[in-house]
Parts: sequence; C-alpha cells; structure tokens
Amino acid sequence: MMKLAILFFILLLAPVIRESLESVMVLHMFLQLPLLILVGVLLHGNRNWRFLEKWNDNGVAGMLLAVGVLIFWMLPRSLDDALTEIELEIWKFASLPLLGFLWKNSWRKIGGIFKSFLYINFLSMFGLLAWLYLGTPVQICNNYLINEQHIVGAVYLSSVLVLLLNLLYIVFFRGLGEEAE
Amino acid sequence: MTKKWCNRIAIIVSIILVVWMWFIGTDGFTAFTAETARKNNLIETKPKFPEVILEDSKERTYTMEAFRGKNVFITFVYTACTTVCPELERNFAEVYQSIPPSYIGEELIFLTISFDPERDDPETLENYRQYFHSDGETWRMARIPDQLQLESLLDAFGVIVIPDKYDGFSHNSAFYFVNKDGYLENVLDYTDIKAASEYVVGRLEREI
Repeated sequence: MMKLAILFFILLLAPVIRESLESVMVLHMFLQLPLLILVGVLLHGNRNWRFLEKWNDNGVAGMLLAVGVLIFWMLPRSLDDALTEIELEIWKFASLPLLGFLWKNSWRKIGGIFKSFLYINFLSMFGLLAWLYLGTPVQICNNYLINEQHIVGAVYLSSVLVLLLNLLYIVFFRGLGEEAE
Repeated sequence: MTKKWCNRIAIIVSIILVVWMWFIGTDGFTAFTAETARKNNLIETKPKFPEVILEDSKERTYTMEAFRGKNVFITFVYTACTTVCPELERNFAEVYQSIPPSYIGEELIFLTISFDPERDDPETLENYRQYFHSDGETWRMARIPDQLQLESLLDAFGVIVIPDKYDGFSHNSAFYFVNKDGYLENVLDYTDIKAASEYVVGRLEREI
C-alpha cells in the first residue's frame, strides 16, 4: 500500500502529468486534487498509527484539520494561486496527502452525529459552489476560461445530486427497512 | 486522562492551524479570489503606466505623456467580444455621463484600450466608438500596435488575457484610475457604476 502511494505521488509530481492535469480546470479540481488525497489514504493503509492513537483518539482533531484543508482548496483563489505561486503548489502537494491520511485515520473514530454533520455540510457546500460557478457571468479564476468554470459547476451539481440520492436512499430505504426489522 | 488532554490539545492546535491557513490564503480574509487579491495588490503598489504608444480611432499616436496633468479613467476590451466587454463599456458610458461636464476633458479623460491590436484597427475602433456614443476626444478608444508594449502594460496593470478557442479572449475586467502623474491609483468594480462615479467625482473634487 505504502509503495503504491509513493508511486502514485511520484507519478502526480511528474512534470508532464502535473502540467496536463493543471491545464484544464475540471481535471485540476476533480482529478488531481482527489488523487493527491488518495495518496494520503493509501499511505495510511490499515496500519494503526500509534502516535495518532494518542493524539487523535476520538478523531475530532484529525477530522477538523482535514476538513479545514479541504475547504481551503475549494476557495477559488487557492486553485489560481497554485498555478502562479510555487509556495502554494508545494503546499498543495503536502497538504492534500495529509488530508487523505487524517481523513482515513479519523473517519472510523468519529461519532455518527459528526459524520452526519459533515455529510450535510458538504452537500450544501457543493450546492453553493455549483450555484456560484454556474450562475456567475464573471470569471472567478483568472487562469481558466469561463466555460471551464461552467464545467466545474456542473460536476459540483452532479455530485450534489449523487449525495442527495444517496441520502434519500439511506433514510427512506435502508433506514425504514432496518426499522421494520 | 492524559489521552483526553492530548485530544483536547490536538483539537485546539487543529483549529488554530486551519484558521491560520485560511487567514494566510485569503490575505486576512480580504481576498477570496485571485482577482480581488490582484486588485488589492495593485492599489497598494500603484504601478506607473508604462511608456507605450497608443493609436486611437482617429489614427493619432501618442503616449500617456499626452494626458499629463489629467487623470485618466481606463478600461481594457477587445471589440469582437460579445459578453463582458459590451457591459463594461455600457457601464463606462454611464460613469462618463454621471461626471459633471466641467471636469470632462479638463480634469479627466476616458480611455478604452483594446488588447486585440490585430483586429481592432482605427476603423474598427471608430465604429465601436460610435456604438457607445463616445466623442473620440474626451473618451478615446485606442489600441497598442506593438505587441511587446501591449504586454508590458497588461503585465503592469495585472490584466490577464487568455485566448479561447472561439477566436476570442477570456479576461478580467475593471475600471482603472490613473492619476495626473501617470500612476495607477485605484481599480474599481465595473459592475458598481454608482460607487465608481462617486469615487471619481470625490477624487476630482479633492484635487481642486
């Protein structure tokens, strides 16, 4: 797992792959960023990290940091600056694997209410971003064209729909089924 | 017991790290898009309008020296643009109309600069000028024929122009206020006509 993570990371760092992913907004946002998060998840694997057993016992601290990083990378500016400023590009390649790592470590530990909160929070946040990217006539990211913005908005909107359908399924089908039993 | 405390400390550290990261990334919660950051930075550094040769709709050529002693209010467009530019120029015209006539031409010149010199020759600019009822004197429309000079200006004023696949450009838009000495003094939101005209009038009144 760890070797796979490192291999993945090196591949993503390779100039050719890096530049081609970053040249298209939707690939940058919905392929490069998630893959970097995946690197962190793979790196964590199924090991019990002793250090985090002590410091991230209930998963709250790790989850807060992970969500904080995720929200940071959803700010339109972060994506723009990663293209023009090397510091932010480095931070991207460091913070996103960390996010994945912490997420993997924390998700099992946190309670149901926190999980539900995160779910609803991301549902509404993606909805807001979809509305922002689809609705605005102005260019939000200086380095990408407006029609690329619309594609990103559409992807956000589809992920909202998927999350919503999944939620409805959990509540009305699985939830009611379990209750009947 | 110690585990509980470790957890609490970790939570506090996490929150501090997150807030700090957001704070740094948005210049202290003031700029959430690169465009706002760009404007804030320009207003802070006040770059000089570079020495470039303009060619206007009446085929006259000059540099910004021609406007020395006058403030210049500027927009950047290309005439083939069908989306933002017409709106930008309509709003520009409204600001023009809202300025007391005694200032126009004396204290303040309006200038529309095209970043598409290949297509926007004086003849095209002349048509564009008439379309927006600019007089060609106190509101001039000009191109910068030399590509290198054009780029130096766009660079200095942070205008980002990306060619798209439909023979057009994606670009950021704003009103630029250049003072009597040729330094950029403010970058204004082109969608807020009232605020722009209040700023310009206030600025001119202070000077007299």
